[in-house]
Amino acid sequence: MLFRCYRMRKRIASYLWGELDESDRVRLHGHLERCSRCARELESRQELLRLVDSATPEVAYPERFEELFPTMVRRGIEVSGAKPTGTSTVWAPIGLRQAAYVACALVLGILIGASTAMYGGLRSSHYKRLAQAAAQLETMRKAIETERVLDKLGGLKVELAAEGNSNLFAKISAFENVLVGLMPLDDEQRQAWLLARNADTEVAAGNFADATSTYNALLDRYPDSVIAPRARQMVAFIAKEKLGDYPQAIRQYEAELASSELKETTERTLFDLAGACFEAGEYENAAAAYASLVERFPDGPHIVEAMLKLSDIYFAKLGDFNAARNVYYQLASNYADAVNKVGAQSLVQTQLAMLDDSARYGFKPISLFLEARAKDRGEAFASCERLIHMYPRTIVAKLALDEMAVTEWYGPEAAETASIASLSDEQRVEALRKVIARCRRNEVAAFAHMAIGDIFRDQLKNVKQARREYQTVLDSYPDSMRTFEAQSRINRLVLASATGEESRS
Amino acid sequence: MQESDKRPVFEEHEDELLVKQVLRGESGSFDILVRRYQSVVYATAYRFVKSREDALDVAQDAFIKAFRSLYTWQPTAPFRAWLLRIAVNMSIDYLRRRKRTPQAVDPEELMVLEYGGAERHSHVEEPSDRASDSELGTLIRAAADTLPERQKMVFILRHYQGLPLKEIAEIMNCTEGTVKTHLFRAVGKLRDELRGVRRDFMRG
Repeated sequence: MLFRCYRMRKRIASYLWGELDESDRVRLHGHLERCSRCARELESRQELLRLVDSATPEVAYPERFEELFPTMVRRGIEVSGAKPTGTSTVWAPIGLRQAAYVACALVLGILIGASTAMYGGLRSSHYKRLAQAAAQLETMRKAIETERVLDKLGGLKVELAAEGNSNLFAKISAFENVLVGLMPLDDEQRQAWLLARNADTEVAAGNFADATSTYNALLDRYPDSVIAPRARQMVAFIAKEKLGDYPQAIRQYEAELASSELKETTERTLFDLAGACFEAGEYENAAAAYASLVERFPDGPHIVEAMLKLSDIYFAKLGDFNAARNVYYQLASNYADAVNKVGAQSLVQTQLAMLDDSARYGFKPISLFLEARAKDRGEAFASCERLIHMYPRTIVAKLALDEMAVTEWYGPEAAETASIASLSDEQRVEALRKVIARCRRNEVAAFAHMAIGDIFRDQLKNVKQARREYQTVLDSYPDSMRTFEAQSRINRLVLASATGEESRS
Repeated sequence: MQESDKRPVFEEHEDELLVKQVLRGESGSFDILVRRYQSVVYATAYRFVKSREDALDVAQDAFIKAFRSLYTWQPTAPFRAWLLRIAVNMSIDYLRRRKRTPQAVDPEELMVLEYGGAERHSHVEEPSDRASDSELGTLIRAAADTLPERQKMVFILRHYQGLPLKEIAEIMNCTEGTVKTHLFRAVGKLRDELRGVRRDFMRG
C-alpha cells in the first residue's frame, strides 16, 4: 500500500460517518478518482455499513422506562449507601416545597400502600413488578377524580369557615393548592381555581362581602367549572352565617342541588339548605330538605342532627305529630347509640312517651299544650288548667303543670326560655304552691299537691311532709280524680315505714 | 440507528452546576442528571449487552458508580462522556463476567433478537423478510463479537450510538486518530467476516 493510500484510509474512516471536513473531502475524492483500490475499499465498506444498518434493531426500552428508571437508581443508591464523597449525607433534608409534595404523597400513599411496597425491587429482575406497581398507581391516581378531591376539601373548608377556624382554613387552602397543582386541570378550570383562591383569602381575612362578589364572578364566568359547586356553597354559607341573608343562601343551595348529580357534599348542602329554610321561617321547605337528607343519606354525618330537627319541626312548627312520632321512633330504634352520643336520649324518650300517650286522644292534649304555650301569660295559665282538667292522666298534663310552675316562678317573660329542670326541688315546691294559690280548678290544685308530695317523697326524702300533701288531696279535694292515687301512696308510705321499723327492731 | 439524533443539547456548565449541588448534599440534583442521561446510558449499555434486563442493571450500576465517584469528575471533560465511559466499562465488564457464567435465554430477549431487525422498518413486511433479517442480524452480531474489545467499543459507539469521534476519544481516553484507526480496522474485519454473507444478502 502506498503511503498516500495509508493516509487516505484514515480519511475514509471519517468520511464513512460524515466527519470529514471540506478540504479533506476534496483531497479524498481526488485520490479516489486516481486510485481504484481505495475506491473499491470505500465502496465495500459503505456496502457493509448499509448491510449492518439494515439489520440493526432499535434499542428496546422497558415499559415506562423514562418514569421508573430514576426511582430505580435512587433506590439503588439508598440501599448501597453510596455517597458522592465529600458530603455527609446521601439525601439532603427536604425543603418546604418538597415537604408539601411528601405530604401529598403520604395522602396518596394511604390509597396506594400495597403497590408502593413493591418499589422495594431494585434490580432488573424486579422491573416488571415495578412497572406493574406503577401501572396500578397510575390507575389509582386517575381514580382519584379531581372533582371528588376538590369536593371533599371544599366541604372541609366550609366547615372550618363555619367554625371560624381561619388558621386551619388557610392551611387547608395551601394544601388544596398543592393538590390542584398535581391535577389535570385545563386553563378554564385553573382560572376558576385562581378566582376561588382569591375569594378564599378574603374569607380567611373576614372580608365576607368581597369574598361573595369574587365567588359570584367565578360563578358568572365559569358556572360549570369543578370549583363552581364549592363557590355556591361558600356564597350560601356566607349569606346564611355571616350576612343573615337567608333567601340568598337558599337560592345558592338550591342551585347547587339542581346543578349536579349525587355527590358527597350533597348531604351537607341539604342540611345547610334545611337550616337556611328554618331560619327564614320556611318550615315546610326545611322539613322537606331534612326529610330528603334522611331518606337519601341514612348513614350520613348529619343524620341524627337532621332527624332531631325534623321531628322538632313536625312537632313544634307544623303540628304533624304522627310524622314527629315516626321520626322519634326511628331515632330510638335505629340510631340509639348516636342519639346517646349527642346526649339526646332523654329528649327522644320523653317526646316519644308524650306522643304515644297523646296519640290515644288523637294528639288533642299536645295540640292544646302547644296552643297554650303560644298564648300570653294569663291565657296560657288558663289553657294549661283546662288541659289538666280535660286530660288529667296524660303526660302532657304533667308538662302543663310544670309549665304553670315555671311561669309562676320566673314570670311570663323569662319563662319563655326556662324549663322546670332549671329549678331546685325546693323552688319547684315553692312554684307549685304559687300555682295552687292561683288556680281556679280543684283538679289542678289536687294535681299540684300530688306533685309536691312526690318531690318530698322522692327527692327531699321527707316522708311526713309527703304524706301530709297526699292527705290534703283526700281532705280538701274529695271529688278529685287524684284521691285514689293519693290514698294508694299514703298506704305505701305507711307500709314502708312499718317494714322499716320492723327491720330496725 | 443513531441514538445521538435524539440527544438534546445541554449546556455543559449546567451539568457542572448540578454536580456541584450533589456534592454539596443536594442529592435531588442527581435525579436531574439521571433523567437527562438515562436514555443514552441505557441505550449504550443495551448495544453492548443486547438485553433489556441486563442493560437496566448495567445502566443502574453505572449511575450508582457515577454517584459514588462524582468527586473525581473534572469539568474539563464533558460530564456525558465521563458518564458514558463508566457505562461502557461496566458493559464490557458485564460481558466478561457473562462469558464466564453462561446465562439462560430470556424469552423477551429472544423476541427482540427474532423480530428486532424487522421492527425498525416502517413498511409492513412479509414473515419471510423478517426471518432473513433476523438471520442476518444474528450473523452480524456474531461477526461483531469476534472484534477485539476496543474495536468493538469504537464501532458500537460510532455506528450504533452515533457519537462523534471526538466524544468517543474522550470516552476511551485516547486520541481521535486512534479512534479512526480502530474504526477502520473494525469495519475491515467485519467486512472480511461477512464477505460470504454479504454476497448472499446482496443477491437477495
